[in-house]
Formats: sequence, structure tokens, C-alpha cells
Amino acid sequence: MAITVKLDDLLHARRMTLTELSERIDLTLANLSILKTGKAKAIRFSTLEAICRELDCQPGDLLGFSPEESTESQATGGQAASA
Amino acid sequence: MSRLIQDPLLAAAKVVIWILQALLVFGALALLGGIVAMLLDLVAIRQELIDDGVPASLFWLVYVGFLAIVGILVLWFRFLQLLRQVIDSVGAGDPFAPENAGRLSRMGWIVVATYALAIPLGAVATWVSRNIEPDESRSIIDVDAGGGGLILVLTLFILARVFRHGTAMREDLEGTV
Repeated sequence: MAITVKLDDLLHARRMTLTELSERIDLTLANLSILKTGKAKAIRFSTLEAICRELDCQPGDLLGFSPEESTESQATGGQAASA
Repeated sequence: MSRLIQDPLLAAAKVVIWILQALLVFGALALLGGIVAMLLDLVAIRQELIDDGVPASLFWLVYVGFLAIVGILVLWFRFLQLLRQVIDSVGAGDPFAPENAGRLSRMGWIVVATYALAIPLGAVATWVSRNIEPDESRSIIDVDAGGGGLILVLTLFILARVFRHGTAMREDLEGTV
């Protein structure tokens, strides 16, 4: 996935555990783990707002974009489509 | 299971379905017993019909009719089984499982099949009745091939489409946090 989630870094900087964050933003630990490990397919604005509020950060601090991974995934998708 | 207890409609529906399935099994077994009895006493029954001036072919028509009724009962049992599986999925909190669209579609085809069997069965029953009981006022054959069944079939097929869309939308949402 070309979109990277820097939740680990932010939690470490704020001295907060994933469990504490999940309780504060009323999101299950399972879903927060899905986000942290980069397995999420989409994020609601309400979830993004809650995380930024609790971690005192901007969406850009939490999310990143990797053009190389985007190019690779497009190429892989193209090869799969032509096969 | 807890949702079934919380939702009395689901619980009541399961009870009604269980009772109806029990009645269908009883009816089918009784008819099968009659079919076996007819076959065991085949010669005597046919002779009695011939002595009464009734065509001997009537015996086989009644026999085939009984088999068709058993078939209809089996189809309705399967209909109720599929409905119960849909109810179970609602009780489990996952009604838009991919299987439910297929179940609703099969339920629609079952209703189509039962009507396809019932109409000729009604015609046969009428003919048999007139041969056994020439006085028509004493025999009443009632076959419902009206709009209610058509509406049910359409409703089931449309619901199957709705559930297919629901499943697709659910899959879209998976992985959304």
C-alpha cells in the first residue's frame, strides 16, 4: 500500500500505548491494529479527527505517501491484468 | 443466539418455521405411507376401481398425484430451511453474507416450482374427483394460482438483488477504520 501510517512513531512520541489510544477514540483495538499495520483499505474522517485530536497532530503527521510503492503496485496490477 | 433472544420477531419466526417443518414432515411421511399401502394392495385396488366402472388408469394418476404432493411438501420444507438460515444470519448480526442472496433466489425458484406442480395437480385432482364422486357438489378442489404467489416470487427475487448489492457494499466497507 502506497499510503503509510506513522502511528507507531506518534504513539512513541506521546508516550501512549495503542490500547490507551483505542479507549480514548472509541475504536476497537483490532481496528486500530489494522490501521497501524497498514492493512486498512480506508479511514473515516471521524477516525482521523479523533486520532489527531488525541495525539495532537496533523493528518500529514499520521499519513504519508510513497510514490515508489505506488508505481510498484500499479505495475503489479498491470501485469496481473494482462495475464 | 443472544440477538434471537433480544429480537422476539426472529425467535417467533424460528418457532413458527420449526412447527411448519414438523407438520410438513408428518404430512410427507403419511403420504409416503399411503403410497406404499397402495402399491402393496395394487391388484385389489385396481379391481375395485374396475368393478365401480372407474378407469384403471385412475390408480396411476392418484399414485403420481401423491408423489407430486410429496414433492411439493419437500420443496416447502427446503424453502423453510433456507428461510431459517437467513434468520440465523440476521441473528448472528451478519445479514449481508454472500450466501443470503443465493438463498433468497433459491426460495423464489422453489415457489415457482411448487406452482408449476400445483396447477396440473389441481387439474388431475378435479378429474379424479369427478370420476370417483360424480356428484360435484360433494367435492371441492381448491388450487390457488393467483396473484399472491406471483407477488411472493417477485418479492423474493427482488430481495435477492437487494442482498447482492448489500453484500457488495459490505465488502467495500471491509478494511475501513
